[in-house]
Parts: sequence; structure tokens; C-alpha cells
Amino acid sequence: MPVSPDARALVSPAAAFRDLAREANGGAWVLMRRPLWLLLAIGSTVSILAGGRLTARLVVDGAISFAFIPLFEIAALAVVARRMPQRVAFSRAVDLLFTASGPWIVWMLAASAVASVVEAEDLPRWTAGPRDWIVAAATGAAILWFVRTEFHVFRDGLTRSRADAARDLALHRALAWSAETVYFFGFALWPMMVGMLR
Amino acid sequence: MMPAGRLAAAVVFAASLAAGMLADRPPAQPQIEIGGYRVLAVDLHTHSSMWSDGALTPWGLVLEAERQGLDAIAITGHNSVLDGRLGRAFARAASRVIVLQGEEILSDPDYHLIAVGVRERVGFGQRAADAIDAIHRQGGVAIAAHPIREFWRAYDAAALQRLDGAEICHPLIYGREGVQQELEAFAARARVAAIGSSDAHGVGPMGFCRTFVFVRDATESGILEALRARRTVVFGRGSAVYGDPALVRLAADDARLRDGARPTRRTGVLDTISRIGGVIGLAGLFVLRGALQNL
Repeated sequence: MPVSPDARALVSPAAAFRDLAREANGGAWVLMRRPLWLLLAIGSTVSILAGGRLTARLVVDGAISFAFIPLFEIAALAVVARRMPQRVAFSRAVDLLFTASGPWIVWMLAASAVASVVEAEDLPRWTAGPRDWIVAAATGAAILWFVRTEFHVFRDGLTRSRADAARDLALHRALAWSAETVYFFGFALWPMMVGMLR
Repeated sequence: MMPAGRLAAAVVFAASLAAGMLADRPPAQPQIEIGGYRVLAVDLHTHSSMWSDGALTPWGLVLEAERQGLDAIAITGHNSVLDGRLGRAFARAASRVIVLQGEEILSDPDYHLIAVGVRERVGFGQRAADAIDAIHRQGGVAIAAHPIREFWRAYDAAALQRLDGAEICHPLIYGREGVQQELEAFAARARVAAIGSSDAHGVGPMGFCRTFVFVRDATESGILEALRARRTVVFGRGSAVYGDPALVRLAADDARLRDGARPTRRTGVLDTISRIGGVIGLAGLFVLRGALQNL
């Protein structure tokens, strides 16, 4: 059975992004398709975790809630892209970037699978109890896997040198993750930081 | 044309969504009266995705509260009342759920304090007793949020004397050993209303722990008055019941409350189909090559 480029990018990212880069450039659908797919996955995960069922009401609400993620990712890419020679259309670059979301999709599928089978009373054991280390370890693994995959977006998809790809990755992650963290934690961030410093 | 494998995944996902939507109806909400009071199911500690690391929008919280059989919620943004204001406006226009504007005052590492029924933000950089006074000046109610041992130092005699309520049922009691005993020990230090809250962030159901509030009238001010008068009952882990002793005697064996204390999720066949089918369908759409790549 043919495997999607998104899944292929998980295991052999260099080859997957080299092949994707050869595909035709641009267009509005190319710009939107993978950010929308990521939002569908996020919305579905929110629906299963928060409501215990997959329903359009919660999928849409979860997608709206986390729409800031693709927006900040694309904005950060726009900043990084200014440092690059214009070899590919921006819409294609966005498409390549979001093809690297696979590790987070796997993480969300795993979280949804666990939440699908455990009782509501047992969920806190995974988030604030004896099993929270599993979630922390899975998140750490997803971050490492994702960073490795995204490096190949710049190195093989956007044909940057190793050093430039590493710099692009560092800048993109710094911009996107900082903005996402500030937005998500919002007003809680300042007292948290004050508390940590005390 | 979409390849067969991916088409099958899309069909499984769509069928799961349809099953979930069929099951996604608010439960019947009979009016409960005990001891001359109207009894409301309330969750006084919820977070939205508007800068409070929740997963649902303020209006999404209101719609989910309906599905979880809640009569009222407080939307308690982290050091913010904006999302509560939005949720309250939405509820007034489109829902039977009463929304109280609130705030969770995070004053790390000292205390987390719920302010219910406030109009303006209460600052975090002050003693707990002073924060409680600021809440009272706005006509609000102050509730100690998940007062585990590490927060006890902030609640000195002045704070305990002023406090209106303390969470005694919180999802943490199911996660960590000893938390239940710590919440009970804290509640025993002051004359406070027993509160059950889900601290809903989007992982686990809203109303997972809830408070039954015995009101004279089913309004925002009626709920605040009942909280100030400590007229609450909370069903905790196992057979534990907390709250006003006279009301606990009336409510403890009432099946409507005991059964209603649990969230209405993951109960039916359709729910199970939608969850498991949804994960399988989504995984198929991710792994199998198809239309997304060809367009």
C-alpha cells in the first residue's frame, strides 16, 4: 500500500523532502492543505480528550483554539525565508514545512488512543500522577524527532547547506515556539516567571 | 481519484464523526429541589484557550458544559477575566448555562486562588488575604484552588478567616496519592464551602468534579449568595461526601445527585465507536498516500 510523504518523512526525511521539492510549485491549496490537515488532527485530539467523543462541534472548536500554531509557524517561516534565495514558492515552502509535523501527529494519535480506552478517573494519572513521565518522555521524543525532521525541510526540501539549514531551523524554532508559548500561556507566564526567579 | 486505502480511512473517520455527533446531545436536565432549595450542578474552575492554556474557546466551554449536565460554570482565566466576559456574553445570548465571570489568580509559588463573580482582574502580587479582600470588594467569592500542602503557607490566619471556599474534589486526587488527604486537611482548618472543580484545561471532562450549590434562585447572584452561606455538597472519591452537614444528610443518598456527580462522557456505544474509529481513521489518513498529496 502506498505510504504518504508525511509518513515517509518520519523515517527517511532526506529522501522524502528531496522528492517533494521536485513537485510542482505553489498555489492557494498547496499553501493551505497541510496547515488545515494539522488543525483537523489537533481538533480531533481535543474532541476525544475533552469531550470523550469525536464530534464536529469540538473538532472545530479545538481547531479554532489552536489556529495560532500554524499562523505563528507560517509567520516565522516568512521571516526565515527572507534569508533564503527564492528557489521555491512560499506556498511550497509552507507545504514542506508542515509535512514535517508527523511526529506531532503521531504524538496526538497516541494521546487520543490512550484517552479512548482509559476511564475518566484514570486520565489524571497520565497528566499529574505516576504515569506523567510517559507523557513527558513522549513529548521529549516528539520534539527531538520533529526537530530532526524539520532540519531536512531546510536541508533537502529548500536545498540549503548544512550550516544554513541548522541556522534556519534554530531561527524558525526560536521565533515560532516563543510566540506560541507566549500566546498559549498568556497572562500566566509573567507570574510563573516571577515565581521561578524567586 | 482517491486510492482505496485512503478512501477507506476517510470513510471510517467520517462515520466516527457521525457517530460522535449522534451521541453529542445535552442530557435531560430535571430541576432538582431539596430542603426547599433549588440544587444546581456547578463547575467553578474552567480554563479557555484564550491565553489560559485551555483547549476550548470560551463559547466552546459553555456548549461543553451543557453536554456535561452542568447548570453553571465559572470561566477562570489565568490572571485574566477577558475570556469569562466573552463566555458570559455568549451564554446569555445562546445557552441555558449560567456563566460566572472569574479569574484564577496565579501567585506562584505562593497560592492559586479562584475569584468568582468579579468584574475586574485582581492583581497577583499581593498576600492571599489582600487578594481575597479585593475579590470581596467586587462582590465576588474567593476559593482556594487545589490547596495542596505547598500552598498552605500562603493561607495564614487572616486569609483563612476571609476565604469563602476550598476545592476538596479536584482531578489531582485521582492522579496523586495523598492529595485527597491534603485537601481535606486544608478544608478542616477553616469554615469554608466544600468545592468540587474540574480545573478543565481540555484533558478530561469538564465537571469531572463538580459542586452542588443549594440556591434560593437560579441566578448568578443566587449562586454567589449560596457559596457565601456555604450551602454546597460535593461528592468525592468513592463514597465520600463533603459540605454543609445538614445538606449532606439530605443529599448523600439522593441518586439524582450521586449519579449526576459523574461526567456524562464515554458512556455509550456511539461514544466508543467515535473515539476508536476516529483514531483509526485519522491514522489511516496520515499514513496512506492519497488525494492530499495529489492535488
